[in-house]
Amino acid sequence: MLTVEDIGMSFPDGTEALRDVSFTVETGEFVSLVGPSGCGKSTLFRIITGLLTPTAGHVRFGAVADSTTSGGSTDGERHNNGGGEVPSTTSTPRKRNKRNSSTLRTTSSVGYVFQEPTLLPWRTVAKNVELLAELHGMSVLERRALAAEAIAMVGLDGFEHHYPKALSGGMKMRVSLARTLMLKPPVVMFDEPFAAVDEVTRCRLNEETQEIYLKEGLTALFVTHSIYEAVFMSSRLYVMSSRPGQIIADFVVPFQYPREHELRFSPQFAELSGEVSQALRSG
Amino acid sequence: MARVNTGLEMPVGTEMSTLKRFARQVLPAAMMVAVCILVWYAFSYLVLDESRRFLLRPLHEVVLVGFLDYDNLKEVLSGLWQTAIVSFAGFQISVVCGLTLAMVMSQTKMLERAVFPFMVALQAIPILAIVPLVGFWSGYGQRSRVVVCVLISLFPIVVNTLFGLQSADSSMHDLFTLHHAGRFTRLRKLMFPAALPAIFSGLRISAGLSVVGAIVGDFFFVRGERGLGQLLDLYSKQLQGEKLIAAVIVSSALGITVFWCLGALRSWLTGKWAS
Repeated sequence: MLTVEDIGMSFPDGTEALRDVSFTVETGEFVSLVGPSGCGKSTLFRIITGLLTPTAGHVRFGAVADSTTSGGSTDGERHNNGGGEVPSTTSTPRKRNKRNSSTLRTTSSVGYVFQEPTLLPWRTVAKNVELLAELHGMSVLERRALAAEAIAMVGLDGFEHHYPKALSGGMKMRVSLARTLMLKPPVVMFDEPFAAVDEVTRCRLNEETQEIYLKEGLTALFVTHSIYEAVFMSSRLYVMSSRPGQIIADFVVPFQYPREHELRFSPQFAELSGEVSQALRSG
Repeated sequence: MARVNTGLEMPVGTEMSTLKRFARQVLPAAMMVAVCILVWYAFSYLVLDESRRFLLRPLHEVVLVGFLDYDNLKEVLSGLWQTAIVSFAGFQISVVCGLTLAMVMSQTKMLERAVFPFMVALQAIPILAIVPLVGFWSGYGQRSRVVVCVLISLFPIVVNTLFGLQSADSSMHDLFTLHHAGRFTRLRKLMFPAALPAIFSGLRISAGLSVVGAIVGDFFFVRGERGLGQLLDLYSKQLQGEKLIAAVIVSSALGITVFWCLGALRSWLTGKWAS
């Protein structure tokens, strides 16, 4: 689904943020990247989404092995997805595809959950969730229905008409999640989304995100600096070293989904967390 | 017994607290006004002797002569009307030009670099230095009054709007970039709403300044209908203390009204979401 190949990134001021980063995320996987702060995780995310151009390597979406970073395969991917999942498609998909094929962007298939909720304070919860669909030119009726669905998915029904300033940090994060998931992206990237909320809320949001992941069959790439969060959430886990960021270890997390809260206190969980921690320290 | 008491106390208590809150809000200002009036009377009766009392007439004489005398009231109100028209016209032009200029500047860094120093320079020139030039170029009538208004009230709108447009978070910009939002969409759906609180701060300042501009312009440009500026000039030359103070009170009332109206508009538009 997502292939990252030999990505290297050096900034003009000489700092080397990433070196030879390669990994793949298969369809349906929940992959975590764990690393110390400043290991270039956010830089890597910006590269994958196309906000930043790497100085080496490339990023590919879709299962088809293409030799270049062309938008061809991705377009097909996105097309299938949009047509398959969105009911009652009017003229909007055509419009959307036209825009995509003209710009050849590979990134609009990616959902991105930012570190901060990044909600627009002048929009209500419902309007915030609708924003991205609005930017893509989806019709009002269609995006309203999808937004309502997404809001229910994150358990915020009843708060549609609240403004962000009335919400707690955890609730804001849920709105942000709903906004991303509403477009049903084939890959969802999480950039340390729960770093700013308290421990109890974080655990609950972890479990809820996992529930949504299983129910919606998401493919996810999750960045965090919390080992426990990474082990609890993911099916596969990569450890990154500090600057320049490199992948130094690779774990397959064997626990069965759905994972219960109690898993966190099992010896196997502790053992794997310990191994990840060891790998992190050596980096 | 105790239960009955608490039952009675609850509504009384809340009533008291709203009353208290109201008193706490209004009382300090009301007391300040009372003190000012006291000082005023003390000054005109105790400090000034009979021959010099024209310098500061007591309040009731100001009200009697300035506001309750029909002819004088008519004169002051028609001056107020003239000044209000001029300042409103100037303010409108400033709003349209200022918002447009700021939006264009926000889109082109080069233009911002080119225009911004000019705006600062315009602001730094004392308005009294420009007034003769304005009269020289565009006459001593209504148009020049409006021009002075615009010159004095444009800067705060441009600066505050520009600042507001640039205030949106970089991660929000990332979000719009990720979803291929065009320039105009970004301006309309992200930058402009984000700028609203700052825009209103600018509008408030510049509305007050446009009243100042209208009075200053009127003070210097004598052609056309009399505004408050000319009345102030006239009354001070004729040593009509009551009418002079009445005109000052009316001038400041105009400024306060404009300031307050924009504050109300601001909270109506952004009160629900702005922190």
